[in-house]
Amino acid sequence: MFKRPVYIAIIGALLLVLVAMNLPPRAALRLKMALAGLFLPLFGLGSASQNLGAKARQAVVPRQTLAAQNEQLQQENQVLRLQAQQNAELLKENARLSELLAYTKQHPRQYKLARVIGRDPANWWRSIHIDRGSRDGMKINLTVLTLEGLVGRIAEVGLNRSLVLLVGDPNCRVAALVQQKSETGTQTVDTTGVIVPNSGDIIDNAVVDLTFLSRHSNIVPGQTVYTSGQGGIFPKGIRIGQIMDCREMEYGLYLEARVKLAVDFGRLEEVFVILP
Amino acid sequence: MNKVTASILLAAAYLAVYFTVASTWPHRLLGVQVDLLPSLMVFTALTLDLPAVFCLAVVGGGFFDAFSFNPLGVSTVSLLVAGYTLHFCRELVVRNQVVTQMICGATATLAIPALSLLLLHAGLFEPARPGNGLSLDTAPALEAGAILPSLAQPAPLVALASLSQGLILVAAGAVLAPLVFALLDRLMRALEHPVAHPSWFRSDREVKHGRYL
Repeated sequence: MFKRPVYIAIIGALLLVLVAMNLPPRAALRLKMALAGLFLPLFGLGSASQNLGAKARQAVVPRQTLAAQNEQLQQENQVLRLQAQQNAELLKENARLSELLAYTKQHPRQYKLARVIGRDPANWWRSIHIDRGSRDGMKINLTVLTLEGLVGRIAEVGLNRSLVLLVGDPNCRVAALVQQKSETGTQTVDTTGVIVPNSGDIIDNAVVDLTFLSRHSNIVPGQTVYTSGQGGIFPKGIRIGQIMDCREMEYGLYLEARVKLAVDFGRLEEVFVILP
Repeated sequence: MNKVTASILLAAAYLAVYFTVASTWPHRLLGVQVDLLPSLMVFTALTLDLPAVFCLAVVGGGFFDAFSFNPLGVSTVSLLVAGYTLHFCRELVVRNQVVTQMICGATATLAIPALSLLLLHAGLFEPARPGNGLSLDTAPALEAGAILPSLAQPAPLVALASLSQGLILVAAGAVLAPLVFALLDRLMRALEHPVAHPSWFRSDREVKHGRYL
């Protein structure tokens, strides 16, 4: 039954597994990235065919529709330019007041656009792959977001691609806050908590739990949840989602709320990475 | 396993992982990523020899883990175990029957992820990854705040709802395995040399023409 090539195959495979198990983390990561690099031609081909499809679709759009879209975009452009002018004034005013108060100056964020190229093939992690790597300035723990809200953080960086852990993955917890009016109604009070995976339904990746909220807080459905910036990874003020409901935990020791995420992870195509 | 078989097998593993990673619609429709490697392993274990099984486990598992947050080697071990077990029992399996292919595909599609999860929970594979000053293990702890160190355990996302994911995977495996069998059987038949059956010619029974000696 056992012939020589069989023995060689068994010993070789077992050796490889043993080596993989005992590799130092950095070497294991490099090996993973090298293996993933073998798929670059296929991803390139996939992206090129998608672009070709999009171009073909654009080519058959009627001229009237394009003209209507153009007009709508021009109007939107004018509104945005007006808003940008107002924002520039506000920015100047903000800078002047900050200087008067000797407030620490905040630098404007730099964003890098990235395309989503795939999902984690294992169903027990929530992560996606983007087509930007260390060559584009990507680093571990950089924040990833869309216009709708927070997406997650970068967990693995290769030369041309990175792995992003999504909000709701067990390894991507987010320090969050809910802003609400104080009892007197004159001040805003921040209630802080931690975003963790939804304990009830792990299949629905649009819902997460906001846990360890103060039992004295007045959390109501519809309130917006933002990043608090306390963890040291995510900057403050990025929208995460909206409160769905709230319940007492551990015999009223703290509150836990379900949060509907602002970003639909099933339809993610492009994301922004905040550069340091 | 000859060169043609090995090439077909490796190309199939390569494409299977690519389609699993790049196609996001199964997750949107079914809520799970459908993996093609278990069906491929069933085909290999029931059709080819043991080196082919090991080759697919090492290459396919390596590719799979390269795109996953899994530590490297987890999927290789689970594919190895499933493939070896099936290969060991191959004489008891009627591989040409579609029902058999469906049952084997469904079982493997459920067993391989379950085995990977078991390995991850057993802690045989270290999930630590390097970072720039901050390792991924410390990062969640920081993000959760120092007051909640117990939250920083990196663990796979598994709950009771995973059972329904498992059922969907079983159904997907049952559908995919016969397709993989049909496709690869045809491909291998087309690319490999036809099997040379032993001839019935016997020289001692040959009718010889001419003068009798």
